[in-house]
Parts: sequence; structure tokens; C-alpha cells
Amino acid sequence: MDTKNLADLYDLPTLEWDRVEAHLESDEAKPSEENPTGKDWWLATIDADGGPHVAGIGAMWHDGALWFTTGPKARKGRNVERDPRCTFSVATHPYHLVFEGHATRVDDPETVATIVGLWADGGWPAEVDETGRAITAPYSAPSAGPPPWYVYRVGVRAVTALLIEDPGGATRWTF
Amino acid sequence: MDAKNLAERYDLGLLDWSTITTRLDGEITQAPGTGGPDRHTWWLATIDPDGRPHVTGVGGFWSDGGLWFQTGLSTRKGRNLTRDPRCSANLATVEFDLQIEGEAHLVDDPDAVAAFVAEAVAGGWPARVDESGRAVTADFSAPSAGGPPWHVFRLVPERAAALQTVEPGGATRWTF
Repeated sequence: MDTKNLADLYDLPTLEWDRVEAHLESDEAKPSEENPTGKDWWLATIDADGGPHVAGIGAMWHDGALWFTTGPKARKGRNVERDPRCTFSVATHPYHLVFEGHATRVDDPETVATIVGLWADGGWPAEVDETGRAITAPYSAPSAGPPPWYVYRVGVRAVTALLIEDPGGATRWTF
Repeated sequence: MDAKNLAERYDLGLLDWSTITTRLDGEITQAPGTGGPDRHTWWLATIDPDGRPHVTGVGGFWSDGGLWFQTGLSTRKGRNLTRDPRCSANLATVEFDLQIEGEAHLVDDPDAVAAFVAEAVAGGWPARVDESGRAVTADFSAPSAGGPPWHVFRLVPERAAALQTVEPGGATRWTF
């Protein structure tokens, strides 16, 4: 892992990835009744014409990666199938976090069941559909399109964090 | 302006763009614990030279039908916008999640830069117009802005989409 202090212009200390990861794994960042599929994340993907497309999305950190779900016909779903490079961002307390990675569809039944279980724990009535390889539920965000929804794992290659409380700081990690 | 209902599946009505802009013209606070998911954060997505999306939080404000923000030209977002002005900006408020897409262009007209600085000062950032009259300087900015001078950019939406996050809900896409 390579660590770069982005705030040495202001003599601020380097942030610690371990603390950021612990924060991501804390109850605050997990799916909950208030945020059934995870906090208010933004997913940036690339349109067919090369322009940026960003959509609000629920996501969660699990097993060293980010996980999200979308229908295959949603713009973000079509985009990551064509070009898996994507960027997630989220404002938590006390960080601004940006994750750069590659989204890969996961359809092995065991993993799909595990991820669906985590979302169900948070209060979204999701379940594995009859194929065993995708998700269905009575509802999702309008932008997800109709079920089935696919599960995606985002392998993260770099994270940037801005600490928005004292003492402040900004750090980029490349994995 | 063309409006498309994205939430017909859930029998929800069209949202009204003027409701969105009225909210944006009001106070969009950026301090922790003052609204939105903890606070209001404008996220800006630009395109890296290799085509990958780059996202960063920016301090910005809505005025005169566009999003205004500043950055140094040597930062990644500054270099990206100079090479390819296409970008997307996103904001979560209590009432809605908003995405706007369009082109962001540098603004260096001295009157517009002075107006930007006046808004920034009113918002609590002690910025001033620099000696060129066409850019912004201050004793500090966000680490991601790089060092001064900072240049003013304006993003005018060509498309927008909003998800209403309070009752009755709804999701709409507009093309301008």
C-alpha cells in the first residue's frame, strides 16, 4: 500500500487507512433502517460517449471491497458492463471518501446469498431470486430499474479521504 | 425543457424543476451537522486522461442557473476540465438527491470573478480577487484545491435528475 499526504501544504498529519476501514465497518456506515442499502453513496461511471454519469446508490464495505446492486438495464448497469472502471464517493461523519475501482458482477450463489443477507439485515426486504444468482425485492430505488438486480463487487485500487473535523487532513492510499 | 418521469413504476408523479432550483437558491450549508447526510457536499465528477471517472468534493454554490466552484488549474479536476469540460455534479439534501450534467468552463471575467468572491466571503471563506483580477486567492482553501491562484468555473446543466427523498417521493430527469 502506498500512502500520500495530500495536505502537507497545510502541515496536516497523514491519515491512517486502518481508522478509515474501521469506520467503514462500523455500525454508522452499515446498512440500517434509515439507509437500508447503505449510506448515501454516489457512483460515477462512464457513458458510451466517454462522459461521466453519476447516480446516487446504496453501497456497503464488506470483506475489503465495496458492494452494490443495480438492474442490467439501468444506465449505471450498462456502463459498468461496458467499462468496469468506476468511482464511489460518500460523505460520512467525519470523512469525505472517494474510492476508485473496477466493478465486477458476482453471480456465485453463495456470495449473492451473503450479500443479500447483509442488505436484509439492514431492513431492505431483498432476497435471492429463483436463479440463485441475482436479487429481487418488492421495491428498490426507481433508478435501479425493475428486478432482477445484479450484485457487483468493486475491487478498490485507490482511496482518498478528507478528514472534516479537527485536526483535518487529506490522504490518498493506493493498493 | 423536457421532463421524464423515472418513477412511474411506483405510481409517483413528476417532480418540478423549479422546486429544485428554489431549494438550491436557498442556503446549502457545508458545515457538519447542518443538513443533507450530515452536511451538504457537492461532488464533482470529471474525466481523467485515460477515460476513468474522477470524483472530488468541491465547495460550490448555485447561482444564476448554474453551479459555481473554484479550483487550481494544476489539480486533477482543473486539468481534467481544461482538457474535457464534460462533468457531473451531485448534491444530497434532505428533500432530494440531485445530479446535474453539462460542461464546466473557466470564468475569468473580472465582474463575474468579483461576484464569485463576494458569494464566497458571504459563505464564510475569506477569499479575495487576486492581482490579475481574473482569479481568486486566500490564505487557505481545501487541500484538494492546490495552492492559489484558484480559478472560477461555472457548470451549466444540460441534463439533470432528481430523486425526492421525502414523501411522496418521485424521480424525474430533465433535459434543457
